[in-house]
Amino acid sequence: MKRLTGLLTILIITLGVAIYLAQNIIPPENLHPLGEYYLENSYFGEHSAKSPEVVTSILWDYRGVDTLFETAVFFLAIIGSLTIFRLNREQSEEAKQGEPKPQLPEPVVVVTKLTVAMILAVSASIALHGQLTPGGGFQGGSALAVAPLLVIAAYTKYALEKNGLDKTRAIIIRSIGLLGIALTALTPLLVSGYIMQNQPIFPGEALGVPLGGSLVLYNLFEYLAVGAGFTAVFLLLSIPEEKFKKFLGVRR
Amino acid sequence: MIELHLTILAITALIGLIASYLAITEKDLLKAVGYSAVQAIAYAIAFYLLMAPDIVLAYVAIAVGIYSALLIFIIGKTERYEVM
Amino acid sequence: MNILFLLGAILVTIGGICDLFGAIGLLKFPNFYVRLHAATIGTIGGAAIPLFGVALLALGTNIPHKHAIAGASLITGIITLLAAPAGATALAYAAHKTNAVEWKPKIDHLKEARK
Repeated sequence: MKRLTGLLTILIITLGVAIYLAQNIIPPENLHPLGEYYLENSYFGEHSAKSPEVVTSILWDYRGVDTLFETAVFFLAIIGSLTIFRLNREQSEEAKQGEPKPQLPEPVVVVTKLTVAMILAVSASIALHGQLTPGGGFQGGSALAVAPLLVIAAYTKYALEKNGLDKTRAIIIRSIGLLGIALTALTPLLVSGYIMQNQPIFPGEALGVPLGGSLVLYNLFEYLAVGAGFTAVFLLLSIPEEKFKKFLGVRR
Repeated sequence: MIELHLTILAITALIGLIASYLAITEKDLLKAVGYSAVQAIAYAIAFYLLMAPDIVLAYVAIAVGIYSALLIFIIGKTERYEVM
Repeated sequence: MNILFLLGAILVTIGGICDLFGAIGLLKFPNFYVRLHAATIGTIGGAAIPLFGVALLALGTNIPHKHAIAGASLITGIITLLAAPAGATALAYAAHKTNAVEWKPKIDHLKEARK
């Protein structure tokens, strides 16, 4: 009952403010000049990123260094959680011991298999078409991370590890992604460009498909890095609590 | 046409507001995660109506899938009910 | 009047009826498992079948991008058709495993199988 009163109060206040504001808002007459510049330049103009997707070209080309540091923040967060859950060699071996058998009834397991395949395909298409349609590396990578999550829920984390995707491999894939991003950002320096330069250095299109220069490379590497980073965190989080208590010497 | 879009936008924003209020005040944390997923779906529709498909793609995967799963992992490691 | 359009309209109508029955069942049925049955009628009959109906409707008219609309709703329908039974099975299994439901079954095969 108390919850309902609070909810009603908040709703009435919000509606009142919204109705008051709605009468006083004047819509802007014209586009922001910077936005207009991006819209005109991202595919056709002189400072072109050769990509019809304006958002991706802003993210990885016009404001590329911003995104580079955003990615760095995300990876620092992942490194932080990996550090909190760090285990030594024997402990991580022991954490891998377990039965990789399905936890849920047969129909759920079969549907999970199909869904995982579909999620992999969709996430790859989101990431690799990032320069043509809405989407990009981060979006595709976070969609990719849902697939191991489903496998952990329907089978166990041991099934994932027995099939070759353990924490070390996930971290290696993540590092390959990061390294790829760094190398793609530094490549223009070799031909006397500036950091994260895109056009004339990278090819604008291949086989008639616009590639957006370096955008497709950034998207691919970010896709690998984000997906594998999330997977490593999930593999650590899904270690049963009893094992952690044993490692840490907690008695209860 | 724009009036219809704005009406749907207002309704989804209100659903998001109600769901986030319920998520904050809920004592059963698993139910709170469910409310938070409802809020995420409502906001995803709002982002779609505001023509930001890039945000929608990341937001649906993270807020409905990954964020809920992380919270459920944490609830599984600690306690289900909030203690006052 | 196109035959595809007619078929699609019939499927959408069936979907509406299934939704109504599902809603009535959710309110009236005695325990969780039977209510889950009503909810699954709502998702399969009330979401997947109308989506197939929308695909046929789109093919039967002359609107622009009709093949894109038909394909999208067909794929969404197939995914719903896959995901809804799996979700319902997982819910029923979890409820049975935690003994969360008060019911008096005549035969409980799952309990016998687990022993």
